[in-house]
Amino acid sequence: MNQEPNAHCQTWELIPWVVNGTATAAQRERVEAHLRTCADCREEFALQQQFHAAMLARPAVTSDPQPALAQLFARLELQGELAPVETVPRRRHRANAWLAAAVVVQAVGLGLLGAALLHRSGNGSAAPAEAGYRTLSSTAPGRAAAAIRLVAAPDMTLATLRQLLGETGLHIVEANTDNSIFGLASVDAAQTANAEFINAALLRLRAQPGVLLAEPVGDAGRAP
Amino acid sequence: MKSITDELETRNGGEPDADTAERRLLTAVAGGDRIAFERLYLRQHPLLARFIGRHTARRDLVDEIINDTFWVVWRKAAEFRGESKVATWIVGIAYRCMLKALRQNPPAAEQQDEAGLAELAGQESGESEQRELSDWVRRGLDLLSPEQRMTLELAYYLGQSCEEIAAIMNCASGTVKARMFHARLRLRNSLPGLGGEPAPAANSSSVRN
Repeated sequence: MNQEPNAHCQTWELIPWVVNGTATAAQRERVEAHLRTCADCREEFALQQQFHAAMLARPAVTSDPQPALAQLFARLELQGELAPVETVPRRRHRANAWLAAAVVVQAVGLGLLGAALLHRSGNGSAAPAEAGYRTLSSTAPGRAAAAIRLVAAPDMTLATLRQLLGETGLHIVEANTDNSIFGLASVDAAQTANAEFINAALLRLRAQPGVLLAEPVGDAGRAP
Repeated sequence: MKSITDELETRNGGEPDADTAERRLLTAVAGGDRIAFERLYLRQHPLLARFIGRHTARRDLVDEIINDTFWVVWRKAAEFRGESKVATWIVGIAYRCMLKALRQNPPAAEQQDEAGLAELAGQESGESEQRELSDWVRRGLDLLSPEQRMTLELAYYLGQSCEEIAAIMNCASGTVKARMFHARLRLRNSLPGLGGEPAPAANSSSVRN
């Protein structure tokens, strides 16, 4: 231990940055030179290497980023930050899975919308003239305005969605063109403007694992 | 004409410089390129998920923080001045989003989940040494102050340099060095050695400051 004290201190300070590979070549050379003659620093270097390895060895918590990304896109689109796109070219190996998911969501949405329209018209054979594709911003006259916007995960089943709507006392009154965003209102029209009812429904919706986004529309859910 | 994302795609695999690729993606994002944004998101998501996942066991909160981060990235992409790596810039945003989210969602109730996660990690590895290392990390990090822990994680988990950590945590390089110094001392004084060996001595004498 006849090392120059300054070199010892400098080495001790540099060790983590040599261990994580961000030290410069000159710094690394200085550290390596000192380590050859200093047992204390060699021990510290070994300890930090073990700690570094241990941190990296912890298994990663992996998750599929696509649902979260879909949620972010929906958020940006709702806020007008990003224009919705009809078709986005994607890498081929992902296309099939997303296409399948989109078909499922579309089928669920169309089924629910069809059921809602039939129920409202009271006559399955005479669909109202205004029935068709609508955006969230164009509410049909006489139809309940949406109080909640809902984005569900592509793999949410129809049974889960129906159960969720049943529990919350909501039904679908609107959907965007690709049925990825639903506008919900209370089955009991008097409750749609009830902030307490809407907030309770939002809490229940957000607690459901397959719900990517549930947010009030306009002033819905805000206490007067 | 090849788009930026197509060009990056052709370089996939032998990518010589991740930061160069990410700078080009970010430039495209600043121009409103949705596909570049998606590409950047998917590149950064695993790293950010691991980093944020060390501070909360709630997967929904991890995704929420990542989305808050990329919401800022989308809006601020044009303001990136290239003073750091793109990844460092994004980690800096994630760091601030995480602090805010954790303030609003204190992790106190999650301690058991964290321990469970560590146990699971050990089971998954199937090796006692691996389990011991994981346990060592978990208990050791719990002993540090939030700033010391964050410094160590940014350095050892994300491989950030001293200067990059200073930029992410918005402090001086000297502060990063001091936090790292004290973190190491605290770990040396408190943690048992590996493999049943005695704990390393406090050994402050080896640090001649």
